[in-house]
Amino acid sequence: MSDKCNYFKELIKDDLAGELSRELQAELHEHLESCQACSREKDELARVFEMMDRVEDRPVPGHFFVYEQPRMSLLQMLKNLAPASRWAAAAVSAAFICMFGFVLMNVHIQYRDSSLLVAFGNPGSLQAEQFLQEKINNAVNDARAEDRVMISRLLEVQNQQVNAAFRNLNQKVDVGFNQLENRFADTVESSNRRLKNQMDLNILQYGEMMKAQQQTDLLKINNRLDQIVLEGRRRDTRNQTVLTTLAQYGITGSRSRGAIYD
Amino acid sequence: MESVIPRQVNPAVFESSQESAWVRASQAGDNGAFNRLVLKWERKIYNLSFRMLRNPEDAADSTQEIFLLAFRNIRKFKQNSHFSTWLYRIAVNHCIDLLKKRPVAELTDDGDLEGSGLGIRASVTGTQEKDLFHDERQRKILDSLALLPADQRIVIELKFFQEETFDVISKILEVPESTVKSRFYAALDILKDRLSLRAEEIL
Repeated sequence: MSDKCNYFKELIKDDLAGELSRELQAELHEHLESCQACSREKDELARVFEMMDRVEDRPVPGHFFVYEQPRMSLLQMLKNLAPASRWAAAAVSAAFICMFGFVLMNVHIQYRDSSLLVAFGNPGSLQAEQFLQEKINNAVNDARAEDRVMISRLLEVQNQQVNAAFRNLNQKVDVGFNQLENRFADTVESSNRRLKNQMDLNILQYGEMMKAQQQTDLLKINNRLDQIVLEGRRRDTRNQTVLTTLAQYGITGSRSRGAIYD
Repeated sequence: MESVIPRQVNPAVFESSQESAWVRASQAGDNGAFNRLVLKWERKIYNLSFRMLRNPEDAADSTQEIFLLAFRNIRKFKQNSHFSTWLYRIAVNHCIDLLKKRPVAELTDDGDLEGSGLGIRASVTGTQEKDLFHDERQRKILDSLALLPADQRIVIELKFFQEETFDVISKILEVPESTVKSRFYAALDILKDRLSLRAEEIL
């Protein structure tokens, strides 16, 4: 097996452990297709992982629990003793305190330790078990109540964040709208101005055109009028000639015409 | 505009903020909060102890001692990592300390474990054994783990059973990630060889 394969053997292990990057995975797959030794190695290692997957967690045999018992004072401890032995105990502990102060310190610390009710495994008696169970139930209930408080607090925070985001967004939208409105007004005004200019220009051009047209028409009308006047004059002359001729033949007035045509 | 109210809290966010709240309360002297941390992690710690020590009684004792250590030192925890990382560090160190006090296990010719500490048979009687392992196969798999040196076994434990990443394991063990990886590779090679030796019994 080459150095290259040693490199890939590590990649195989990383891959099975779920800690191989996508790029290296691709590189590994490419190698596995061409290298039988490595692909056999991979199968063998996969069986190790498969084996480990079969290991099941064991249930805990009991609960570890911290409970600080109320401290009992030395006086109370003495009171709990039988009256006869009380004074003896007091005397002994007084001597004890005087002589072995440092020992008492240790005792004190141990006492503090033993005030932690620490249970793991069988608590021993039914009473202790019930006590523990009650404590655990209380703890679980407390935890649930605490969860609810925590959830509502987190929701509040999330709400605040969302609302802040919304306010921010609203402001941005408002600004955007204002900008749009301004730009729109500008656009309308400028396009109006352009239109007006265009129309003015058009009107001017149209006026010019009309004026030219009118002049052409006027010229035509004048020409026509001239022609009509000439034609009228020509007819007048002809009529005059006819009248003169008729007068030579003694026919005058409108009757004569009737006479001719009758 | 109408605001949208999120109906669900991100579970990961919830869990981590809940846990750090418990840690803070524990540091302020709230035993109830510490008990909640215990309830959350006791199964993991007990099973870690069990797989490291290979004995239910030792595992229960070790779990108790680990939580007691955590309880006494919770004020020293600065919350600069996850609580689990800190707790695992205590657990791992405690288990390694216990293992160091035990005699070293030796492999006999037929591949069985011999030695007072690691072989389960040595510490419990035959009738107890049946109760302790509900499945003979589980015992065989755990036996194969017992072959590994403690430092490799810890890495296998954290990687396979506690499902931590190499990065987190290096923080728990306080060694470089490369060390974690090389221990993991070496452990896998040992397990692979052992498996090919006794595959028909284990699988």
